[in-house]
Amino acid sequence: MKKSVSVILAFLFLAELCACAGLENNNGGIKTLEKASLQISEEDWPVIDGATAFLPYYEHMAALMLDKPVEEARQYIYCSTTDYAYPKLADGEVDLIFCLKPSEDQVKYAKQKNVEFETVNFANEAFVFFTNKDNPVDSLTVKQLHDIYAGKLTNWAEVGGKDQPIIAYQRSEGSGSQTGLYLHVIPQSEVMEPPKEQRIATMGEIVDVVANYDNAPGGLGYSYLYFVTNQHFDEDIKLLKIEGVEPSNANVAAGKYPLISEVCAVFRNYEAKDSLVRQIADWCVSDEGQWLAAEEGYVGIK
Amino acid sequence: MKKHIAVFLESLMIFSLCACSLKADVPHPPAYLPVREPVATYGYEKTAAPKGQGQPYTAGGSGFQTKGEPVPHASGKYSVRVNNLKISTFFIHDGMIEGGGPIDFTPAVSSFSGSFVRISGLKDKSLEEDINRRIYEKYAALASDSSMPPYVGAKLKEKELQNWDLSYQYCYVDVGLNAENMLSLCFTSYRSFVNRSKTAYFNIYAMDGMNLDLRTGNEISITELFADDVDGLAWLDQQMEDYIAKHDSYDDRTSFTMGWYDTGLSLAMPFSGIAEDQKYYINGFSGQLNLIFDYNTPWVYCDYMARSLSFDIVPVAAYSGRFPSAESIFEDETADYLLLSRYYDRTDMVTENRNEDLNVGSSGLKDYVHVSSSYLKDMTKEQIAHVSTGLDTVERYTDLYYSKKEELKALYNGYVSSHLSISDYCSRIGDFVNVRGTVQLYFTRTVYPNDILYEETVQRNLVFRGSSGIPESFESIFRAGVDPKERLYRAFKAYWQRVLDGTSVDSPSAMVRYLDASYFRSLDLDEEALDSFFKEASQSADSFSVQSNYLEIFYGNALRDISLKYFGNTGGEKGEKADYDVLFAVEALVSGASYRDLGADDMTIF
Repeated sequence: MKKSVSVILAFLFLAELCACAGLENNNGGIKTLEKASLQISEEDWPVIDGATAFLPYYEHMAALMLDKPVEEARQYIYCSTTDYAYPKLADGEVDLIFCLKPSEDQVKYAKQKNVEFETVNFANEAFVFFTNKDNPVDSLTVKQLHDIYAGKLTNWAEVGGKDQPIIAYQRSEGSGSQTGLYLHVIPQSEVMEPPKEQRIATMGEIVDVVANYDNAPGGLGYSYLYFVTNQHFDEDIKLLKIEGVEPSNANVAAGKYPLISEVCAVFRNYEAKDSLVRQIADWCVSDEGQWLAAEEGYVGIK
Repeated sequence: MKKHIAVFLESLMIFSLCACSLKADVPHPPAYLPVREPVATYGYEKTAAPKGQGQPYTAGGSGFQTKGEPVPHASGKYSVRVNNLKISTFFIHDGMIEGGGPIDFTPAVSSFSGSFVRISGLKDKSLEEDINRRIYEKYAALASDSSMPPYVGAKLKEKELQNWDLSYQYCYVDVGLNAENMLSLCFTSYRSFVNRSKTAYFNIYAMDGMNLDLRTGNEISITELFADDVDGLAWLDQQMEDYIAKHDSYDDRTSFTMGWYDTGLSLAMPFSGIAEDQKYYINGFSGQLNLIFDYNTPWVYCDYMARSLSFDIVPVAAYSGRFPSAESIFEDETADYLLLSRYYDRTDMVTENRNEDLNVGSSGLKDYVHVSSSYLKDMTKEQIAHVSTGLDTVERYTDLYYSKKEELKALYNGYVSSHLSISDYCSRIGDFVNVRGTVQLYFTRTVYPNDILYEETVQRNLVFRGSSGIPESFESIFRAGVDPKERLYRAFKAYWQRVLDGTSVDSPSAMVRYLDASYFRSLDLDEEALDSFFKEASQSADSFSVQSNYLEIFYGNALRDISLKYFGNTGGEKGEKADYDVLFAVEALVSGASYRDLGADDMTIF
């Protein structure tokens, strides 16, 4: 009897935990999906491209719409990364891309080609800041982050921490994370020029260097929540609350976390109203599309 | 008092010397021979340790010094028994197999070339033939495959390439680990497409492994490589996760390449774990496991080019004893071993550089003293203490450098460029650490940089076993009762025969280095002189380093004297250049001795 009770309690606890963490995936009552309601033949399939970060989403989407296994469906999509996908969309080489919203430069390039982008936001991604786990600072405000990256705040003591310099690492220009910094924290024109050694080429490196307390006791880095939690979790770093809000899928889904990047299906604005491209973008915000977002570990908009 | 004597002896054994002067007009050796500086005996100030001091590796005619008792048999994980398998390579050009008939498969493109291998030497001839058939069939299948590999975007790429031409294809087979009754092969195919205007190219690079248990011919799964108490897939997952944590970028591959100098692997999506059927092959000299990433591992960004990443699996591997046989499965039962080399990342090494007297002239560096000390982090303190840049060598040679500089400047009105380089390099092979120290001191005329006024090169080689801080003697690597010098002489003779037979190519385990038989025949060397040369060289060797399949042998300045003694006059009418060709050639014959030829079972290093 005792055993049964404990099993039930454990089950209830687990269910509660899942709900709290926003892991439940029953969008529109969908428990599982073998095939999308929108079916497209190989011949009619548009040219799709996008960021590697969202490849799990759009290759699975292709599988559901082409009614093929993922291993086969992924042959029908490109994955050129954000840097290349936007110019290709502007140049007419591809029809639909899955990326974060475009940067100013990407919009400018499109304008030169007489193209405007239309975006359909179907998932959200938290832009996160992290520091070494031994750093006593747990939370920063957007204003504080702005001032840190403007070079005005240079010591952790100024934001409630120890008396040690803030080593504010940055990513290389053009990277998704750097675009995120400009979008959420500080315009490109205001950001300080970091010393060369504080310009980190890869997202993995920035996590490593901040995690290494010996080398960077006052390190501060940034990335996206999906990357840090799914692809590069390091126990020696901690994610900072922003404006007192913890970066979690649940807080992103509830709209509480302030630094949210929109994951979008992006296409040229002159796509016909009933075009397959628009139908696919619409599908992404449907219950099926939202089920898929949750299935692949993204935070949907519903 | 004893301590003082020990310090004195230590300082004497610091360097085994070969004082060298290089004349500017010395000809280069033939391209197929390793470049070696011709050695003359008119060095400046000889700092050689006196003979007969009882240390290992001191130069001089006394040869190897005896030191300590032979160490018991020390087979470790990095020592593997080599298969006595002959592997022959067959090249394909214009649809014809070199030395054979036409190929019986249709390659993806007519301009096809490549090579494949066949094995021989198994006792079970029917199994041998079956293995050869399978190797050939796999090769033919790879060479005939004209399809687009199913990468992300493959169908779209097919459309893109509809009007392109497949310009050429190259397929070959590399032999990896060939030991412990295992044979690892790597198949590679390279296909190149070109657009009609021949202004753009697109390449597809495919790789596959074939790993065989030579007792049965069965394919070895990746999990079978691991020791019984190791969960191989979990171990590999951890290695991958560590690699990803250290290297990966997820949203920005363009900047990724800016920051990395290694394989540059990048994730295309979250890592989903190594599968049981993961493609792999094993490196032949390091025993490292090479994972092959392609369309089967979509989480690795490949862009139609198969990638590989290697891991040092040896500490957790079960190479020895995984596929045992009570009796040898090979026709030739001669004992032969290989010491697996150890890979070290930059971060595993400590390198300290010191510079002084830097003086940049109009045409580059005019003067410098450069001291570079490099050793492995896991070497013991006692071993590191032998790194020359940590001893009194620096002081001694910088003193020499400055006094010589003043002396020469006075002679040449100050127009002298002066250079001193003191460096150490350490490497680990099997359970051994090789420490090589080099001092190079040279002075040139500033306005005529090819006019070398003075040059001296000093090299020292030390070998340490395991964590021992005492350098090994040559005797200690042989079992009691074995005459090392006699073994060395026999090994030189055997190698010479191998060169003449051309078997040095097919017997990598017995090969010191590839030497071209036809060239040696053209030299028409006097066999009697050669025999005497081998005998005297074996007696004059003064130090060694441990390599994977052979001992590298050093002679200080003695070798050139011996080669001049026996072959100095062979040039005759051919002139001086021919003299040097001969000297380089015969010296290459005694630059090393394979374990097989030395008698591996009589050595303590396996």
